Amino acid sequence: MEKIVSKPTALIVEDENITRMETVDIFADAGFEVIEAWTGDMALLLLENSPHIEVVFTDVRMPGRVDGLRLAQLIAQRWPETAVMVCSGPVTFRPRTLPDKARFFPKPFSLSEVSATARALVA
Amino acid sequence: MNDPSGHARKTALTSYDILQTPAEHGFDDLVALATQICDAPVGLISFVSSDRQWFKARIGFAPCETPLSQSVCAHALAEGDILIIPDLTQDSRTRDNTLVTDEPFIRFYAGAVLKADNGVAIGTLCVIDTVPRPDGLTPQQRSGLQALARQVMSQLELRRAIGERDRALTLSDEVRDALQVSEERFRLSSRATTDVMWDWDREGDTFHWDGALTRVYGHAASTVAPTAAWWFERIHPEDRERVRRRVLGADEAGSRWADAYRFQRADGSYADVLNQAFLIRNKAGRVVRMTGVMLDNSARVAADEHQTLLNHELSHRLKNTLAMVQAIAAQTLRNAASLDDARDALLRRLIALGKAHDILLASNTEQAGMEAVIRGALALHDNQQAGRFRIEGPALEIGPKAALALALMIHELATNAAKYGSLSTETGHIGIRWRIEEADDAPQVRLSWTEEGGPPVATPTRAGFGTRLIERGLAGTIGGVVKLAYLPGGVTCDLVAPLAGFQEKAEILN
Repeated sequence: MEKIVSKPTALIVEDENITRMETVDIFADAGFEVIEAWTGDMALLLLENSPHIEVVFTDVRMPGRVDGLRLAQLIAQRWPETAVMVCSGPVTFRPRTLPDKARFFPKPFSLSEVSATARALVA
Repeated sequence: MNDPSGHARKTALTSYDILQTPAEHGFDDLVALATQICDAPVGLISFVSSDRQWFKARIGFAPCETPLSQSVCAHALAEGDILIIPDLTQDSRTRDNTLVTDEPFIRFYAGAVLKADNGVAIGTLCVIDTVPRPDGLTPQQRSGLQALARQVMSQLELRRAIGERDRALTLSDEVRDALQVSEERFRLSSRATTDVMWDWDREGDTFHWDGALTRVYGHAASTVAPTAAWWFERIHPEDRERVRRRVLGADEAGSRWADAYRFQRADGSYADVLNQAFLIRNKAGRVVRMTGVMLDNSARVAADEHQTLLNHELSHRLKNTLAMVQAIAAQTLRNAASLDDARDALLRRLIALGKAHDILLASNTEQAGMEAVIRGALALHDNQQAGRFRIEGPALEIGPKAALALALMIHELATNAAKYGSLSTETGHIGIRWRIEEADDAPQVRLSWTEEGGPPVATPTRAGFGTRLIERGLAGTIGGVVKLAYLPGGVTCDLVAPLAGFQEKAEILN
């Protein structure tokens, strides 16, 4: 009898298409089932309608009402079991405004570091 | 030496303004005459202050001043007109003086007292010898020395009179400066009404503001003290010391001072101001008055802050571009057939990206013309052959995201066409057409890429990054849907996207 080991699910939230493609691939290589969103609203929709999502990787700046920071806060409130990884470009971004279970990655991020962190978070 | 007339002597010395002044011919000549008349090696014109004696002129004596303990002249002041000591080692007042017991071993002293016009003794004209003179001075030498002492006083009076005359002249300079200030003010008063003028009499320490202070910064006249201290207190604590230091230190040459700082309004808030001032100096070069104009600089500061915000925005975009380049590089390297292939592909993609960026930068509107973007992306593949590309469509401005994605898509389509499609043969050509059409609720852009006249088409076995760029490069927030078809006659590619998504500009922070 084979044990079916299901892959953990990662949600990638990024509005730039090519960057999102690469991030999706990184998480797929790291052993995740990957779903994508390109706005904070879309991400919330997916979170509400999916079975458990283990990790959310999000850019800070996104079009729409919900930016990455707000998304991270909402996830901490509504899906406390979900790990959040936030990546950003603006110099003025201060990591201490993130909720506790979040990790911060300045852009451009190290691909291997993201991969390693993602695996560690679900281990 | 506590002298009851010490205060009067000090007052007299101050009025002559003689202490610590440089040598002057008149006094040098007089001391020379004294040594000649008395046939002595040392001559001094000495002034006695509270703790030392200082020499305006001297011959045969190196130091320009000595402590009072070494002063023989101090004793002369008590004497009256003239003090003659034939042998300094025999006089109880002088026998322990270090100038007597030690180098230069003086032995004889004759000093005629210098008396100020208020009758107070202020110093002596004296001659000194290293051998005692039991007979003192001859009568002619004695009267000569006293006459010369009177001449020293004449010199001092003359000097003082000249000083007073110069001060009077300075006053007329001040009148002239006041006129100049008045003219400056008139010129300055024709400027913007947010300017506030002030006038600071540095000597009397009175500081006056014009009425605009109330109107512009809200300070009621009754709350304004006419002092520099009041002004300093209104300067922001972080700027105060710097401004104070610079304004008090404005003693280098120059007639103007300027500084920028925050000035507190009556309601407690701070305004950014630029303060310029005109400096008026006395003859000695010291600043005695400043007339200033305080300009409200908030608009300029706001502009600077906006510039900083723009710089942050640019920095953010640069990081985004770097992230995008990193992703293109990573994607290109994945599953690359060989490192050489990957390098070529990557370089070409970056060139295409760079070209699209150039087109965006060339316009000031953050948009680019559709045709310019397409032609830019084809530039690498254009062999200048007429008719190779048929490009048709209405003028259309597109946003930066769409422009970059479209450039990469066209570049990939052309790269494939050059390897396997219409651009790989002499006769092949490509039609690129677009139009705007009305859809259900919003206008959309339809673009088609049609290859003809090329070799027979074979569907590729695997979809690499290039195919992804074509099919998904305009997805996401732009909302484009792309269909890539490998028809027998040639590859075709159709793109449909909402016009709004195509034209979306990036946000600017506000």
